[in-house]
Amino acid sequence: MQKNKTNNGFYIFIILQGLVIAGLFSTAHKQKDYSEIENRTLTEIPAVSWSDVMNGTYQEQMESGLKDQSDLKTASVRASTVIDMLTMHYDKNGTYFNTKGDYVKKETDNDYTDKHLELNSKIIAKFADNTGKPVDLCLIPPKGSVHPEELPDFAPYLDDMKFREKVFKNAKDYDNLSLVSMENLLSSDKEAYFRTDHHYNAYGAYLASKDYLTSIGYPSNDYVVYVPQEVGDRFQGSLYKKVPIFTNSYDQMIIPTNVDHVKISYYYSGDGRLTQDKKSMSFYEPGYLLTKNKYNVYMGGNHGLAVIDNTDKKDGQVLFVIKDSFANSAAPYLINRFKRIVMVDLRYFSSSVSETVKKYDPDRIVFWYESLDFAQESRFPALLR
Amino acid sequence: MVFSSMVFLTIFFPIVFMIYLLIPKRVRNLFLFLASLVFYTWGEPVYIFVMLFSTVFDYVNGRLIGFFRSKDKNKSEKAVLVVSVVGNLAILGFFKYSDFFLTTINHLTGSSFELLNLALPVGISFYTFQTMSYTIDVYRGEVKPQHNIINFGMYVCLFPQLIAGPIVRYKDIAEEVDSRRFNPPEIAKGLYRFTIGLAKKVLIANTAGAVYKDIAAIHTENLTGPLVLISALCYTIQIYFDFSGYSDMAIGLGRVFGFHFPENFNYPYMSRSITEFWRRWHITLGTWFREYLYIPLGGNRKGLARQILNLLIVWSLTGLWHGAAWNFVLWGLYYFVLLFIEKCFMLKVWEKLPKNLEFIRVIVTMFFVVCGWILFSHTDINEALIYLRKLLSPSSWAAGFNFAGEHTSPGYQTLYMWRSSIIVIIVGMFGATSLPHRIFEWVDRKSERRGEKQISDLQMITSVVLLFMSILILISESFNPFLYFRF
Repeated sequence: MQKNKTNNGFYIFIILQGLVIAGLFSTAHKQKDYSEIENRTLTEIPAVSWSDVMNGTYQEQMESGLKDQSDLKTASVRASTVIDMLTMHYDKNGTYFNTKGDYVKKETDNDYTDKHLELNSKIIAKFADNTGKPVDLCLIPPKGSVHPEELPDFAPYLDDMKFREKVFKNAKDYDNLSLVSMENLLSSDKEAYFRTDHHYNAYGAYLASKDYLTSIGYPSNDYVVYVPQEVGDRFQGSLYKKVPIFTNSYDQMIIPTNVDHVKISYYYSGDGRLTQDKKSMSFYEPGYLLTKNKYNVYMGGNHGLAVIDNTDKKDGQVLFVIKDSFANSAAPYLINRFKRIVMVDLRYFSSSVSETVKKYDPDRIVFWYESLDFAQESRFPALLR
Repeated sequence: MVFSSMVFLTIFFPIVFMIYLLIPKRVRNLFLFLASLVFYTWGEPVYIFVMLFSTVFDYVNGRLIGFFRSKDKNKSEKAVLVVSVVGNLAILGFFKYSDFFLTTINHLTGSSFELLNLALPVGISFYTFQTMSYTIDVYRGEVKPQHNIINFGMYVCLFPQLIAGPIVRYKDIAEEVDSRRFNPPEIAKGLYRFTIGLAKKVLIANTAGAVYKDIAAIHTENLTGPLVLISALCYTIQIYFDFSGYSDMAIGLGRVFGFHFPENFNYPYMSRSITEFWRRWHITLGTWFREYLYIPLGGNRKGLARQILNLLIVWSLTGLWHGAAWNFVLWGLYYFVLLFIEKCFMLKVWEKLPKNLEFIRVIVTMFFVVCGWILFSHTDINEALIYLRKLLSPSSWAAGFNFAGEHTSPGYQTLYMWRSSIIVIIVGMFGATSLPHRIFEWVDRKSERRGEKQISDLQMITSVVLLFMSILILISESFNPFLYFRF
């Protein structure tokens, strides 16, 4: 009977201790403000504020804070991913993964609507009409369309061909709007995307650029001409951060080193005004190779406006690029065909795109987006301002 | 605050438990009452006053009924009862159903009454039913009015069952309000039940819910028959493990503090008829509607026509209780029709089936239950009907086996979702039966420490492992919906 009493008491003690210790993992240390692995600011356990309690903010932050501050967080994400794999569930946090340690951003036909895609196409066609310039749609296929072998078995994925047919159908009624065929990228014979990041790698960026230059009548150099070189340490990219389980999966940053000399002026856009931020004589910001965001080695990441002048060329055309981050690593392969490339990222640009086009008077405009980003972009109406 | 949260598990519960352990018995009810107010205020800082009003309202009503009874004023007693019932229903109706009625009137008449956009006070459907049951039982003479407002407040606000049941009638715990056991065997059994409930919710319900959510994101035109089946099965598992898991946690916590709440689930997915299903599912709600509505309306004692009417009223209101939307009413009426068919002839047909073929009854019953959950889970009735149509349509099923295009084909999508869900479906189906309990009992029978007063080694190890896993999963995921929370 004594043994029985010990059992109950011991059990109660273990459970309560376990709960308290779980709490101490979150509270018994200095609060962390940033997570390297998640690349985001962490919620801190808040101080009590009556107004925050009344509107529920305090309670939300307390719960988030206890989870974010827990020293068990990385272990818990790994444990839950192991459980996912044991139950044959191979996606988490919007990312597919397979047992070989490949990651693919989860993109399916359910992530966009035909209505929104058509709307975006119409806006761009109107924009093209307004500017009077030829406009190209360079839509980068997502990784799973180029490397379906890296998807988990049977994983549903975006039907890129059907997607392009829809865009083509929307575009074909407009004479000055053309869709770039991405056949070189789609039929890539080697790895064209990072293993642990959602971007294409240097070779993928080269293929996309080759596809674009070919479509507008320019020849493209062979990849080796650009003398691609490894730079920085191995890294684990954006997709690994979402599912940090395959610690042996890495990528290596490669940059083309034999490119034309450039002078780049960066601007940031605030309150509708453009202010010069900085200048650079290179596409590359080596400082980022020491950070977790190694892809930002290309042009220091995204800027509202970047004007790239080819100092090796006195004559040539001007290209205006409206883009997402995929264009950053393609720019070095494009510059040798243009005397100037102007790049606008609508996420960080609040000035008038039309006025900017007038100012730089490009010979052509290209929308350089990953396919789904293009379908989901909600900022295109700003093009008509 | 919900049980499956870090705040509750690592801060609130350990603190409340330790204080409860250390304080004198005479102040424990006051402490539990105050702790329950903190618990409720955490999630509902504004509408706590609604709950407090409801508490005071029916405390006074109960005292008044007792007073008028002592003076033999039967009419006054009845008047107070009517005030109590009308008052509680008014509170519930105002906060939960105002916009439902306004929207319906606008839709039917073309008017444009402005909606009130009131937030739904957490747990209002539960605590109003509890306090109503108290005054009705006082009126019926089944319990004596509680004179101590703290004790009564503790009963109404008691945090283990406050926001999602079970619906505890006062007479179920009247004795324990005044005197109850707080000892290691009860605490251990309570904690064990709590950890099992937590695991059911976090490990099974949330996992099934994640698959359901993935399929819900698929455009309906891309849905296939097999996908709808997976979605429906996952929802079936999610809602059972979510709700029964919460009930286990509530019952477990109640037991820790010495209360024995009634059971709320009795393996409902083993039912051999819809009639049986509703005796095993959300038992306390079914009991409430039977005792306080169906039987007072006459039950089955006033002829078939009246019985049908009574069933229609009860099931319409049962549906409506679950949510302020027409799909819930439709769901209630769906069960009314099935129950009517059973009462008319189907139960007699089933009884003729040999015992070794009773599994057919379970399969048929589950088919109707799963279809019912499709209605329940879609507030857009059109979407629910699309799901039902696709579930039953041969062409939708054929589409699920179309593999042309590989990763872009509906066949691949179907296979992927099956693969992602098959383990949780099997675990869920197994866990929804009495088999795990029977296996545990059989293993425990061999243990030398088996007995009613202690927790066995197997229970201890299982509980600790499940608690650890549940906490890890809670930390890792922000996806932590609670289905019955909105009632």
